[in-house]
Amino acid sequence: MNFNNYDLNDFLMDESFYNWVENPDCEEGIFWDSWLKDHPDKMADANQAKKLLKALSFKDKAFDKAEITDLWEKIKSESVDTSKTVRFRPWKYLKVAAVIAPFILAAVLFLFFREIPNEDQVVEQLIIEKNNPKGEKRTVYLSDGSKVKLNAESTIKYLKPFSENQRVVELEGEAFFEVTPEKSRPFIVKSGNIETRVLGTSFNIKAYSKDNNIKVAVKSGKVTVENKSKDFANKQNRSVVLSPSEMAIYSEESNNTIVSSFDPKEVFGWNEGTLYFNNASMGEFVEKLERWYGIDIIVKREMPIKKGIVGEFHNQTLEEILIGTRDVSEFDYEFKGGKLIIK
Amino acid sequence: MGFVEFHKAKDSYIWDKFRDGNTSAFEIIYERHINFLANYGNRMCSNQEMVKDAIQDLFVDLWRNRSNLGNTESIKFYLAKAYRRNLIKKIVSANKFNQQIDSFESVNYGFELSHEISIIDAEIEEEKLTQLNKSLNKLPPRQKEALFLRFYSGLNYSEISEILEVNPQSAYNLVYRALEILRERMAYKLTTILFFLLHIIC
Repeated sequence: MNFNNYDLNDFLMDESFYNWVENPDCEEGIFWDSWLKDHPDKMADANQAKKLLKALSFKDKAFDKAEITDLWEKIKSESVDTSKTVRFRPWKYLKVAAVIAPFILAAVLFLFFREIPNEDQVVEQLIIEKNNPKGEKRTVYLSDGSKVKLNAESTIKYLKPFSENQRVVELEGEAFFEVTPEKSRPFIVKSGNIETRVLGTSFNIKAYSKDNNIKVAVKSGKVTVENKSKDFANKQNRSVVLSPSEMAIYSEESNNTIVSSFDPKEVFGWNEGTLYFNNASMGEFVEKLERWYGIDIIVKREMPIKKGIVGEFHNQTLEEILIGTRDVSEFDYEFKGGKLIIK
Repeated sequence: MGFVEFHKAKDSYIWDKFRDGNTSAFEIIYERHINFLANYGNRMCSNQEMVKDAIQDLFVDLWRNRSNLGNTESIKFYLAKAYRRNLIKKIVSANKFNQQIDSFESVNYGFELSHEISIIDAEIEEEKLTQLNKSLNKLPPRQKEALFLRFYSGLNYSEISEILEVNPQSAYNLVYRALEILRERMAYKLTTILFFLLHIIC
């Protein structure tokens, strides 16, 4: 490199020259010190460049210490604390999501837009969307302090911060909510035709679109579940009120909601890392495993399994679960091309 | 490898450990770059919640995708690239929501530069610095951003070009033009002052 023709601009633009200005003790520093000694005629330009570069110091706009720690805690709870080894990438699913996301977003935009009252809103609200692919769960903290544990293959959308008169979250898939009590602002979860309305409780909603039903199960507090579809027959329940240990099951086919009891392990287990099967059919078994481990499973057998699948697994590997259930339920399996085949 | 030993390690080493799922390495990456990311984001966007949200997304995605990431010599560059894209997307969608702006281009995210007067450097007169500060903020947003990436963040021209999604020559030109304008304006200011002074004296 020939620096003999360097003028002010060249010095300003030179990466190593800047490094020397910023940190005179660096490797380049020795070079520039001796070069300038040999080229006194360049001294004036170099000095001016140095001054200008020095003057270019920027005001610090960082966060304060508490903010940095808070943000890290949030990141940790959504990454390190919830993730496990990802074995297969659900690209297919992501591609589909990428195609439909703008439409969903447009619809949500429209809905939120319509619901915001016309009073002057000073607070800027953001639409937040959190989406989990197969095989991954995470905890989302909302602006009111409520906590949402989002299961795999599930999406929530909400405004940040919430509006003044209500807290609305849209859910597709499954999530466990722990809602911070606020008397004046109901917390509403919208999933398909069903609106779940609470003031402050914990409950689980399972609303996967392929299930054809929506299940709302209450752990603590009182929850109102309302059917928002337009057409109603007389016999159908428009809204039901649930107490702890009660579950509302809404069926899309009958457009009706019934109240029943439930097995807490089966409903809340996923949220504590427990995979639980209570006399499950092969279909249910496969669906849960696919979602939990993010793997594609192919069932290659015509005969139904002899006995329903039973078992309780705490953070165990897929292989351990398969070994634990295959003998009783009489099936065999193999891994082939990144897929699990059940025979 | 513990947290403490990581502190002095090179980017490439920390990056490799992080890709293997080492959580201490992940934390070091956050600690080393949070100031840069906050500074960069707060200059692009005045809504601090949005900036924090983009940083959170950045690191959560980074962790989730760690097994698919390639090698890197500069983590800062890698982060800056993904972060900028995400933050602009957020700014655009917020603007759409508030003002119904349709196209990406019509959103000017107005990069802001504010520069600090360093008392240590007595060689530069305060008058000049105030002038420099004014001139800096009159520059077009992309030139300001290029200056920030070059002189606050210490990224090189090829990295800047990738972050701003322009070719390397354009990145160089952005910085060059910004500096040229700065020099001209400062020089102009000085000559007017001199002229003015002469006028009074004579």
